[in-house]
Amino acid sequence: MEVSERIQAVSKFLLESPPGEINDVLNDVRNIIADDESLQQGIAPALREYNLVQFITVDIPGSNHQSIISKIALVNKSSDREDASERFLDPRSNTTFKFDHLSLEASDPQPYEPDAASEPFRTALEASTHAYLSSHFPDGTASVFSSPDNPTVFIIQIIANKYNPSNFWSGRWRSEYKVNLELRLVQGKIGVNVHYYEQGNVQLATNHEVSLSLPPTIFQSSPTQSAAKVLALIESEEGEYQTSLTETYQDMSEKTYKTLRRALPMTRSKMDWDKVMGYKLGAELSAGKGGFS
Amino acid sequence: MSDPLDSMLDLMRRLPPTQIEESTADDLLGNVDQLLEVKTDAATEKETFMRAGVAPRLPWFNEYDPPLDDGTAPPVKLRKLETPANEANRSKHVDITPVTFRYYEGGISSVYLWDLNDGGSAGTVLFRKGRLVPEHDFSVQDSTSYITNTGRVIEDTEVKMRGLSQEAYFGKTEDIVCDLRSVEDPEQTRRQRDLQNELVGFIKR
Repeated sequence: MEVSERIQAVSKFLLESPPGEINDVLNDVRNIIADDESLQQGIAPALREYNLVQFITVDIPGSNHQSIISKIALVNKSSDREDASERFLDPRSNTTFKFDHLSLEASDPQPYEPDAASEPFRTALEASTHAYLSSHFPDGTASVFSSPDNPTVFIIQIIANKYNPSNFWSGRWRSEYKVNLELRLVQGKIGVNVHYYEQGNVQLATNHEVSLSLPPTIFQSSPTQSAAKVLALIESEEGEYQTSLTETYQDMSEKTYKTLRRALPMTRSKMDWDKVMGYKLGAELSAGKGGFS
Repeated sequence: MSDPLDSMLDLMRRLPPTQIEESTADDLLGNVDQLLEVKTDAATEKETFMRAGVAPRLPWFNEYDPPLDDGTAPPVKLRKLETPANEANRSKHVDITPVTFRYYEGGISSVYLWDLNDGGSAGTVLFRKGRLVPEHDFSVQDSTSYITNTGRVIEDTEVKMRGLSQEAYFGKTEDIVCDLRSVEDPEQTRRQRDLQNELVGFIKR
């Protein structure tokens, strides 16, 4: 296989890594390819893409909190290629920084001047989002961005991970919401990924799209109450979605699985293995074959 | 540096199961047991279920398809055991009761046998229905009552595996989702409970 074809195949594997396991996949791939230099260079775009899509979190230098790495977080969006000078924004501390997609570390923090018009509402949304996080996500991180082109548009991103490799499982909840105060609309999506690999490889990958209208009681000039209401809508939607997932599982467990395999044969008892040999002989006799070999 | 095969096997446990078949890296993973695919033996029109991508030895006919010059075939004694085992597992008569039809109401199965280095024999029995692929490996020391004995072992393992799979597929995955996010707000639940306790205390006075 040509080097470029292998890099392409390997990049696909990296992008498909289950939550928290990209290092394992990367080590496997290094071992199989055994040409570390060309590999390192070749997979850099895949590593970057993975981090942007999966909402990888980063410790912010000079702060106690983490921020989300994503396409929205890019400053001066030259979003297709990695640029050595590419910077990400943490709106909570108003800091921009460089990010290493392999070591997952931030560097060269610089102060950032937020947009005065949108900042009050953005701050209120951020506070409500953190309150929401602490009520429902034992281990969650969130970032709330204002849109550089439109002071009435805000983006909320939430990520919650749980990795338990010693028990062979991992999980990730990602949600993103675009709040448009002018169009009075919240559009977003929820993505859940679960990997359970004790004696097997069981994976869940779901994507749920959300579209909610904002009631007239929500408006920009009343940021605190309005932000709380926006998050109440999101809380309700996510709660409903999670409940429907649970119900679907219980449903599937009962109905669908039975069609794959019965608990017992229709006679409601285990097979009589001595009889089985008899059946085969019977078939041969009745087919007129006779003869025992 | 560990064996690349170990790394390939590890990858099989991590990549999304439905993507592995369509992977463009067939060469990379060529040595690994992939999702087995169904192949029809043109000569006998019997379907058998085997490793994908590797020149298969069709157990019905003991030939390689496509033919391989240096293909290994099991010794004659094992071959004698293999044929009835494959027959027991599949029959054209719907009212006769091979394991496959009884438990899976159709589906496909194959039995392969080979010699072990230590003198015993080993075999593998494969079943397929939809996407569920249980596989059993066992060793056989003695050839008498072979089918009845191994049949019992397989049945017991199957029942255990079904229970395990059901738990794994649905129960555990659901638990993990609930670990990520709680539907209830624990703070709100605590406040409600405190309020209830307060009211009860008030009434009692």
